[in-house]
Amino acid sequence: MVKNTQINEESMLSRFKVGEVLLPPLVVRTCLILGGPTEKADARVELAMPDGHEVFRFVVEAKARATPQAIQLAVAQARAAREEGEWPMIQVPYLSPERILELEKEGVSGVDLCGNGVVVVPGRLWVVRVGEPNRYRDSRPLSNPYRGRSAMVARMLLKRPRWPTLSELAAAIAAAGGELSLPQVSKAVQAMVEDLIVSKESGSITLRDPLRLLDKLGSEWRKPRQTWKSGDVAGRPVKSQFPSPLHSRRGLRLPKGMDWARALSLAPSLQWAVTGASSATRYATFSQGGPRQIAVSNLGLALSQLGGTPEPVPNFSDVELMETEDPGLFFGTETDENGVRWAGKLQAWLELQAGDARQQDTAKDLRDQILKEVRE
Amino acid sequence: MSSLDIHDEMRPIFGPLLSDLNAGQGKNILVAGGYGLFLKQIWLLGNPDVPVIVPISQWRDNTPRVTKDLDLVVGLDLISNAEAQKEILKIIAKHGFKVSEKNPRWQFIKVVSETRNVIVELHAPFPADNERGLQADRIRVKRKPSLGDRGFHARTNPEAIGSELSPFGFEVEGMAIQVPNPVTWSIMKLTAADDRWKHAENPDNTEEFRSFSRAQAIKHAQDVLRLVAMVNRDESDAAPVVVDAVKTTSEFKKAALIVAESFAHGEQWVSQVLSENWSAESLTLIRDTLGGWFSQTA
Repeated sequence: MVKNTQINEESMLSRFKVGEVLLPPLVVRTCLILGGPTEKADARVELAMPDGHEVFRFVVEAKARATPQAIQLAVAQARAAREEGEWPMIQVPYLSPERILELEKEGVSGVDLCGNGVVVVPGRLWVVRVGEPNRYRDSRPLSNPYRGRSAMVARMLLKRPRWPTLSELAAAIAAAGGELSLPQVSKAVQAMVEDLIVSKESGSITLRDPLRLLDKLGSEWRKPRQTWKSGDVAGRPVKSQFPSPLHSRRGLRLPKGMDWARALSLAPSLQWAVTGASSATRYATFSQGGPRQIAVSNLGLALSQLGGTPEPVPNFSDVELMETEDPGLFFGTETDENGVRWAGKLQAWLELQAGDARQQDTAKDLRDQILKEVRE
Repeated sequence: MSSLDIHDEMRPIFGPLLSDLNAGQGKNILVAGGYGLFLKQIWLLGNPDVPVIVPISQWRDNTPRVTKDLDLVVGLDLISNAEAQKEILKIIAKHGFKVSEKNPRWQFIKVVSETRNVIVELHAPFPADNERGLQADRIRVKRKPSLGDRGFHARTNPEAIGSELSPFGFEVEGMAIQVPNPVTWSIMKLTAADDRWKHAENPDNTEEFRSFSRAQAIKHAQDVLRLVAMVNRDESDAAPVVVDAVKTTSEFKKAALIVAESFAHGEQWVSQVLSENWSAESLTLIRDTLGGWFSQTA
């Protein structure tokens, strides 16, 4: 894969070679590169069918990056530069099927450097090519603002969609348990601005498209990696005639009436929270069996706080501990009057939407609630 | 699948009989075999919040198996009690069951139609040497002195060892049921599966008999897996006590050997024939549970 820092608009435009096929079966008949600073567009090209009977003229705006923001800008520039008898066309390193569909809807042609594209002249011409993989990795400062630690910015924007300043947003993220520096928050915001999900004006930050943001968070979410190793409460390997990976699950039976939340909270260095799936009953009508799952940042420390006895059958455990470094599990938690730290509604939705059919059904309710709250 | 989705074809026949037995001295009779498993599955489907080792919703094959037999495990105290014998025999007769000519006094048959019979069998563990008022051989356990036609016998079932310990009780549509503790029930089913499998593997047997035996072995092995899957927390907690009580018996040791040779890992015949009915995770939990019980040989 090529890093697209190595691509510039000049080299991209050289792909318009007279006599060669641009997007099968369309052939480049003429090409005029417009290099001057006063030019409104980057090139003017003529495309024709192989038989050459009919010629179509396009004004081309090229962008070396393929973010939604860059594409939106290129479309606007191509339209503005259009002269009589010309049709707007953009050129970027890569066009996803989703982007091609959007261009088609807008009646704008677009080609990429990977072999994908759409060329459209309303009522006369319609050529589409999709499915070629992206060979140009985006080189923006933060490649994915919807996953991992960076996703805490998106989560905070779903909790409160407008922020007067970046530093206030960063402070709120820190208060909710997110460990991100101001530059990291800035990069995440910028990446979402480029994706047209967030807008930034005079320093203030506004969530423009909560629906798409939620979808992005959902599709990018991955089940937390469980980092524990097989062993008993004391960390000794479990002896069994029938060794099983399930022995590595830390199901525990606790003394009756034990205040486990208090026991865990007594260790200040321990991060812990009930997982999203186990917190779902707090936000929706949802019955589920099995023990309450608790995410912890340090399994050994959590075990020493709780005591109890190991339970090999998950369904017979009172609690199941999951050691994880996933920041999302400890972000934006809600503590109830008993000191239980519940996962926030967004975390509950993320886990359920990736779960079984019954969980996905409940996830729909949570999604509606989240979107309703963000729009209020 | 919910309990409403399952039609219990045998309920009109076995239901009234079990209700009458429960109402009197037969209240501690255990329902074992396929029908006992069937009833427990029905009960769990109606009570999905009861935690079990593998919830029925996670079974890949949760179709209850069909049975036309009712296997009852009776306590030795009941066999030695003349009054109880008379009462139970009267109830069995009242519901249209007659003594089988082939297996008199422990097997009872009811003719349902010209082509269909249903069977009730009474089973009991082999009594200890010091049990009073009983006599037993490898076929039957009976009262001493015998009550003749006024009483019943039980089929000697040494694998029912420990059946008096920690039975599990539940209700299905107002009918009280007790099933054996899962350790004893496993011993019975493990032994049945192994016996049948050995017949199936014996080249001296006819092809027809081997094929029949193989199907029976698979049925019993699946019963083992299902009965372990349906173990709840109370039964699981009581299991070590049962194991402690029976672990020195030859039946337990034989069952432990069967577990090690046939149920312990994926290369063995049970996994080969039944692994598609269970997820790897479920099968591991079941194997671990069996391993936990049957690794404690004395």
